[in-house]
Amino acid sequence: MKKSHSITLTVVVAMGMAARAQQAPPAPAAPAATQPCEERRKAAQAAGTPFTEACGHGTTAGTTAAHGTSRGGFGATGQGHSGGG
Amino acid sequence: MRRIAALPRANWQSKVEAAGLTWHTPGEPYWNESAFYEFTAREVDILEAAANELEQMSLAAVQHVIDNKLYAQMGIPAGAVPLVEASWEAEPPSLYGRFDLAYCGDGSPKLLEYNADTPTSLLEAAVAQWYWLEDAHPGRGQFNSIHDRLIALWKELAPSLPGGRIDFCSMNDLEDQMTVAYLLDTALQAGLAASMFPIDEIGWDGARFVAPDETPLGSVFKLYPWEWMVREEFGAHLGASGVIWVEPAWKMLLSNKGLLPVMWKLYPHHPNLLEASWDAPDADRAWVRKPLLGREGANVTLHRPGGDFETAGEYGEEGFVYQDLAPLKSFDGKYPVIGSWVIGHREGDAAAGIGIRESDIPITTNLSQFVPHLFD
Repeated sequence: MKKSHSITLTVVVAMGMAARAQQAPPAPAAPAATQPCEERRKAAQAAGTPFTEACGHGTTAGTTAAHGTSRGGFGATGQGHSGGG
Repeated sequence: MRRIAALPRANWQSKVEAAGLTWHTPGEPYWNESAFYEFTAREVDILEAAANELEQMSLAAVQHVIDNKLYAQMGIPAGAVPLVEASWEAEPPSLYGRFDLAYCGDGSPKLLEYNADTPTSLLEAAVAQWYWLEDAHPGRGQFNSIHDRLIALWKELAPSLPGGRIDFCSMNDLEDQMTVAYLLDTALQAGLAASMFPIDEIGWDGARFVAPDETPLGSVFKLYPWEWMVREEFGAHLGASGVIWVEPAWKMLLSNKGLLPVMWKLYPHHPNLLEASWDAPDADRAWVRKPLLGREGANVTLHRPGGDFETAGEYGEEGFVYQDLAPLKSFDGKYPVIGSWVIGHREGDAAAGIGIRESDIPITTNLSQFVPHLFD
């Protein structure tokens, strides 16, 4: 088979809309408490797409949270790069 | 194979954005529909057959590397070897890859390199150029069943993914995020449960890798190279974690340019291969030097008798391979490379479509442009 049939996307469309919204000129007086992670959560919620990020935990490379989970152990090499090729 | 100038669709930017291609103009346009490539059905058949054959040859090359423990020669750290060998034996789920082929419509497609760990330009090939075809040339054909094949493969893989679930990770980079979002979309359409988050939000709780909400991870698709993962802080936990990583660790052998001389050794003078070696050929020949772990055309030296051309970058410390200079043909001053997608590894049925990137120079870099195609 050399052809796809109809292609319908939901997550991609929602992500694309969110990305374009972030590229738009900034809205005046954005609430100080609104962080990018929270924006992503809201966009996912609005689009009905899955979202499991724990917004507000303040991810820092190599840090260990109070409950003993360390994060930031992957991703250091890719800072400023694409992981794709 | 012809390159045909065309009028871009009105509001093409909005149209490719609707397909998820939001990074179409990072400075200079990346998506270019002011031209397209037209193939004959026979040329498409040739490309399809080449990808299917190269896939089987690549798997044989992986077996050869493992049997002969060529890891050091390929720059694979000793700590990664058990991961490679265990994943090769266990045959965990594996999704896709992209052969980069030199082809101009004459002769046989020639393998330039293979990325089967973190290939991108997927959304462009699977979706954006399909929407372009439907808009601009309805009724014409396109070598592209990537989307359907991804959904079908996820359904096949579902029983191997704990809980019918897979989580997706990438760098916090727009292209990477949208590529992963697209794959997540196909997984959801296959009936899997899924979420996505930045790779630096993966946690280690002392015994398990966990999601940002502390849920233990079962299966993870990561758009992040194995050669980076194994060298990072959490790399030491990879063997003990029990996570099913997609792509699996053995894929780091396929995305290593050391695969090229191995394939040439196993299949000398194969019509789809260029001669490749670990040592520099004679200076009176034309050849290309590539870093073993190079990415996006960085640190590539194009040697011709009388002069060299080299791209910039930060790779090469791990070593190089040498490959005969491919006979790239210029179309209207542009050098196209065929990105030939394989979905799964089924013998004789892996090839799923193509995407074309073209450049002003005979090296494909991160400045190359994606140009759609069709065939009759």
